[in-house]
Amino acid sequence: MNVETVAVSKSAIERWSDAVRAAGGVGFGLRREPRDKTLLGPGGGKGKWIAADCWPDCGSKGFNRAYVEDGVVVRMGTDDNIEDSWNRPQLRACARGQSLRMWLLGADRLKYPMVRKHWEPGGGNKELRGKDEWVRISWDEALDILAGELKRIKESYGNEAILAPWIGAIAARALGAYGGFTDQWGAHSTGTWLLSHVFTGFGFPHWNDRFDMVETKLFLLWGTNPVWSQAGLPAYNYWQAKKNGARFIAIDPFYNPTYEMLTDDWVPIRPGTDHAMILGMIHTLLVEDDPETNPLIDWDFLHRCTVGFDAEHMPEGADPAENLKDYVLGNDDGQPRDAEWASEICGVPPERIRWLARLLAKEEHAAICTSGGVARVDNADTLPQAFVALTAMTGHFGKPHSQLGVAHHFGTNGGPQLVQGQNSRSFANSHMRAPPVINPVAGVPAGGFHQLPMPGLININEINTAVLEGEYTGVDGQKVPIDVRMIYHAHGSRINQLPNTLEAIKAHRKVEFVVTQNLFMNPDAIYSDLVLPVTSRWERDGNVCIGYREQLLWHSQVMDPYFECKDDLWIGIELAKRLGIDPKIVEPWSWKQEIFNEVADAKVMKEDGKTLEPLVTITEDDLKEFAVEGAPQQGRITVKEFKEKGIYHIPREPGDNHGFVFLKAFRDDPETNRLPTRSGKLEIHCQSLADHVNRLGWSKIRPLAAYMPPRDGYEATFSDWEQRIKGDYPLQIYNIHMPRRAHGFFDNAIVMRELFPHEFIMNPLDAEPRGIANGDTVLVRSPWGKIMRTVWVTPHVMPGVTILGQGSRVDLDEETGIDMGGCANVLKGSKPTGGGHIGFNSLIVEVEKWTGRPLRSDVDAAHIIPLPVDVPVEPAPAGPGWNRVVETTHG
Amino acid sequence: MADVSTLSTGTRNRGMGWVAQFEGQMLVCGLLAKTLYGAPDRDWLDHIVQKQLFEEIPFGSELPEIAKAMICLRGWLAATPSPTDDAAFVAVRDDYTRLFVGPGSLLAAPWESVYTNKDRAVFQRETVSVKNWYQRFDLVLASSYNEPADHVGLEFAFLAELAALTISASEIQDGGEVKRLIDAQRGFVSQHMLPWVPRWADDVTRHARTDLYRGLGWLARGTVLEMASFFNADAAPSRPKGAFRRADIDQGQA
Repeated sequence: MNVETVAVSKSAIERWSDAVRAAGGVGFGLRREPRDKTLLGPGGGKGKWIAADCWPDCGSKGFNRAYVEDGVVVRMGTDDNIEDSWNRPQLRACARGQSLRMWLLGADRLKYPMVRKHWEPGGGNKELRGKDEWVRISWDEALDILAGELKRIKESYGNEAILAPWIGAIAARALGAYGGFTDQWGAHSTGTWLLSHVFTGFGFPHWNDRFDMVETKLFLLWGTNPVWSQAGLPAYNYWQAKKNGARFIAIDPFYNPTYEMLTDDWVPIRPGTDHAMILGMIHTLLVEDDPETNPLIDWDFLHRCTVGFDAEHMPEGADPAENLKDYVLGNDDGQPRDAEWASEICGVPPERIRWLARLLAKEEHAAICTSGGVARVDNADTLPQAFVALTAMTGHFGKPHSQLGVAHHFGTNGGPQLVQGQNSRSFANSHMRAPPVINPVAGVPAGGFHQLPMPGLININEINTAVLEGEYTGVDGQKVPIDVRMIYHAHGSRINQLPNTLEAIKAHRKVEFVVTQNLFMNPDAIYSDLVLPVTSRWERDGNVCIGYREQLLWHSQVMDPYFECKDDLWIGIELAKRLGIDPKIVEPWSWKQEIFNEVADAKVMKEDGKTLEPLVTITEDDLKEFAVEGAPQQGRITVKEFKEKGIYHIPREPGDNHGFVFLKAFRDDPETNRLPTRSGKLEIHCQSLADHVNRLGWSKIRPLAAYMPPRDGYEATFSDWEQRIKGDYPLQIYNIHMPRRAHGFFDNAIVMRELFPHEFIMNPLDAEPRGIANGDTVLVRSPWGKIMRTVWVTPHVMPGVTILGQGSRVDLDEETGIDMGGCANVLKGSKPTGGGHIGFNSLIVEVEKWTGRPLRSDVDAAHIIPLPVDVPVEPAPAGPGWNRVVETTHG
Repeated sequence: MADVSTLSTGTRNRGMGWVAQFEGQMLVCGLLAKTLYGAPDRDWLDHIVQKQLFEEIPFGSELPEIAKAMICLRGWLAATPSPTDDAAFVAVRDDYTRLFVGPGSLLAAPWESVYTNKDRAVFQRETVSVKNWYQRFDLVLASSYNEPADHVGLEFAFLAELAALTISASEIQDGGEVKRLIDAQRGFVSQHMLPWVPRWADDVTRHARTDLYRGLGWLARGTVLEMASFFNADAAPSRPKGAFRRADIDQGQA
């Protein structure tokens, strides 16, 4: 020991002793508590595996397990306690699932209730939202502020003034009982497929069973990328078909990793022009078909099972001129929608369009597998009818090994759910069997997700303009006045994930009060007055949800609540108390009881493929041990086994009774097995869909699948379309899902930022004339906003098209108005078209090289502590799969 | 926590230099616990302003960090009215919030695992290890909610407690206990403080807006280095695997 030589004065000791005494003693924050000297781990194999939920809404489902030692989640595992086989494939976790541990224990999570420093009742200086500092407060103070503002605003302006867009069932139950709130309607993901599912007869479930699917000989993968978007079984199922010798062709602006894995051919196509391409294919088949010498069209199916294809088979009351065949042949207006016409729009050479049409028509067992992405386009309301017409005329509905599949959420494996019972697969969960609380403002159940227009609900595109302009579009297209004074956010990311993020920020700076309850400081929270930290599903009493068709998952609590985080349920109860509402409305019974009820109610399909039986056996002892109410029952596995394993797979084998081919019974006998449409048939001419859309009044559509150029599509990149003179925004953006995140989730996880870049992607033919080289920083401008990104120059994207992934958090530089975070919605306008879907993929921009202050890397920006400047972050490990495109083509 | 009032501060025999060292460590670490772990407490700040606490320091050290700390802390005292006015208190509260509380990103996250764990997360192995150290000496977190034990302020609180125990043991001339306590302090400083507190303190001094926290940053850094020198402690070897190589603890010292 080095004995101290510098003298210390007595008065210093006294003075400091005094100060430390005033602090309560020397060990501030610690307390003496004699206890068992057994030290905590970690190590020594004392931990245990716990089934851990992954609720972010990528649409896929992997099974995640967390290995926990002394409360420390030390690593992640997956569904590896069964042997992997094609009959019973493991439900493996993806990279996002593997990162849950680091994401949920990130130091950037919200830890304490906090209020904006200059907040005061009524808002104070509202312009400071997003710039102000924060003050930590207690939960009591926070809940009092929230309840106080709710009361004040309800009493002054009425319940309609409280905008709570898709806040999740728990908060919604409290607010619903308090007189209601203004909610949103509309689909984020499904684009225009939603209305086609409702009206045209092309409903759910529409994928064939996977054992049927693997015998398919030809797949057109059309604007889809499950390897990135819905990692897990969808791509694995395709891989089995590939091994069976199936041919895969990609139709997409981007040659993505799914195509790298599967496809034999890539047909680059401009975003938002798929409809034109389909019409060109239909035209090809119409002019080349000869029932005797060259049968290409399944006239039998078209005539028996569809309406609207030709003048002779129209639905009752329809104008015979409004048939698809005459429209495509140009018999109505003299403009044939032939391959040459289509090529001008979609960029696919005419001979390639004809080749694809013939290939699809001549193959007995073919499938078109597409996504919501193709339909997230302005004016694409009848695109699904065009897909349905093409599939129908080439004979691929209702037949084994043939299908039209949309989105991979449950995908490449369709049919009735074989293991049933779930609370929620995503995050808006609540007590499933409790009586619904009605939201009196809209007359609908409070909470949940409202897809279709209803009085009292605002379309998702318009929630910010409703705040700013004081009106929104009603169900009959009329302007409805509204005076929004407060915005309540929970679990979602409305500012970032809906079109026109800058407009959303303005709206959030207009109202009197904004509150966000969330895990993270997402953009909703940034522009709030009050933030409430909530627990993740890892910190709650578990959850039950389906995997795909064949699995049921039961997740358990993994860890204690993080810092001062509280469950949404607790917040709902506390809010109810302050608002004078019976807390039982929010929590009719405990969450633990709710989850146990879900487990007890879970059903599994018997071998006959027709009847269901309970999944779990429950004994009196089990009820005592779980400390829940219930009744003993007999099932397939014990409740303890299910709890411990966390996953149940139903046994499958080819030829079992669980096979499924969509529309098979309908094809065999359409008169007996009518579809839920006006005509009872598949509606290529769909008056009810056109009426629905036209009533809303944003645009006018025809009941047949006529092409309408998207508002901000390829045609709009020209100032003069006839002379083909480019305008101010000559490039299209294709707005894809990136591996780094699932919508807004995971984007802030440092490990995901290190592994998966969020680059602006462009073709060398577009980059070179602009003086842009791979790795440069670019400024991307649209009429609505500006973002900055590093560019990846690659021939993986077709010329004229650029790519920007969705979901990155806005990081607005207030001085320049530039978003440094690369949020795609900064570039997108919010005016809806058609049925009120979101046209994310109709977006036009100009790009220039940025020579100003360099852009901070996303990895740096996410770090809670600055990285030492001279220590480079290790590059992502090279390997197959996820980042292969990036690895093989960079630089 | 140990009650400082039981210590005969004014009348102690000051013959043994190393007792003074422990006394200094106890008081400086105790102050760092209060100021870094505890949220700004206006009454207590009024107290230290009134007493002009930073005119002297009970830590005989010639380290430049301690000198810098004293310049900053005296500067803060000089600029702060007694009792503190609203502006002075709000400045302190806001600085503490943006450095250590959030929401979202923090300018100087006060948890060891964020600086030393390869995943840069909280509630990691380091956290459990620190909890075990506390538990060996019958100490647990007083917090009413679940928060990590490896908060910088709690680590200083632990060293304050160990210093107090060392003084008590020396007063009753329990040599075995004194040795056990000194070994513990050497071990804890090398395993849990040297590997990160200097870097963390650099972040504090770089980002703090008030001279109070800038000074406390220097004081934290100086105190750890002083203790390391006193106990002949070396930083424990850095962990072999990480997403990136950690710089030496002195990296960034400007």
